[in-house]
Amino acid sequence: MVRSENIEKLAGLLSADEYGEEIAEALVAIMAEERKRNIFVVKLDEIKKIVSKLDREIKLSTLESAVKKFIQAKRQPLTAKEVSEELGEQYPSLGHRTHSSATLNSLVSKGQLGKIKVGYSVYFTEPREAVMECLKRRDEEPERCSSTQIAAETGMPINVVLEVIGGLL
Amino acid sequence: MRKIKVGIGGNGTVRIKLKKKKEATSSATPVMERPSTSARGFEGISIPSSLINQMEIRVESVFRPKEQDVEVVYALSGQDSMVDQLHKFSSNEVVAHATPEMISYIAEKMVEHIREERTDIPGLIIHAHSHPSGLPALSDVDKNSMPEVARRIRDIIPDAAVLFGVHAVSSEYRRPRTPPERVSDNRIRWSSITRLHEVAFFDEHARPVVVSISG
Repeated sequence: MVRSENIEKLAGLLSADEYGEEIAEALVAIMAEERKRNIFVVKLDEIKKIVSKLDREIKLSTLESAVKKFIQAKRQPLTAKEVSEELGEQYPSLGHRTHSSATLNSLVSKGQLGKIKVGYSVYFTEPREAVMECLKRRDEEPERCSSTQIAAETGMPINVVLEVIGGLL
Repeated sequence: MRKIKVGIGGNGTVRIKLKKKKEATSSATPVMERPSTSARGFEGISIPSSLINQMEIRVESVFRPKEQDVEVVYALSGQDSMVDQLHKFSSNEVVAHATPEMISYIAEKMVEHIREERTDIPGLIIHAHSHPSGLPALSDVDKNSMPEVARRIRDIIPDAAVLFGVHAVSSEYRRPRTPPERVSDNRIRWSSITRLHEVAFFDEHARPVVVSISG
């Protein structure tokens, strides 16, 4: 049987990859069953969209830049209410909690900040702090952790979570 | 950005490691402060800041809201004076019992665990335990048990330098992070966003061991 160029490439990449055998094992188990294969293809399409955005430059609005800078300077987690109170005078629109909350959440989705939930309050902090807090709560270590769960809990994109974990090793 | 390689860890976890190991210790290694000598002539130890992050995660990860903070035990290992790996002991095989005031463990199992996690035989083992809301000082119980613990570790790895660390951690409140710094010959201190950490290092005879922060 003659294999296409892409299949040959995939085999070559898996062979050269340190974890190639286990990735191949997982793929074989999925591809061998149609129901699982279909889910995999749907998810693969989602992943294609995510990775296509990776190299795009992240653009921040003036307000986003101001909020990011403010949180970095504070070096501790802050709530949307605290950001409103502190920056509302300088940036009147941020005086409204809903707006400061929207700005903070936009920074989170861009991987510029992370979220930590403490009781009923949500705190916003630098990505590194959010990942570290999440690891502590999950009793996990950087070398072996639930990166997708950490991304979900902190609200940050998975690529940012992996970058932060790399910095902790 | 550090390049990493991710592998499947099982149970929803992934294994993550640095793609390329840093060059072995050379003159180019950014050691901020070179350790001098301790009372027993040991060259002192050097801890990379990435490992200090892991020490923080290890000690804070046992704390749960509305529950009393408990002591935790962990180990650092390496070669010569360089510490390069943290070992977490959560299995009942190693840690028999933990309360806010004390922790009991089996030294032999601890060494077994360290050897399983390392690719080489460590020349340096630092046994550390936490003092929640306490001081980075040895208790009488610590002082009395350290020579025996060191002896038991050396029964398994005869050439290893065995040292001890006391990791004091404050109670929880929101605060600005401060980077690790050496506050005396054998103590380092830093603050996470919720707790103040201070770690002191000693030899088995409770003499201070000089510490430095690298990288």
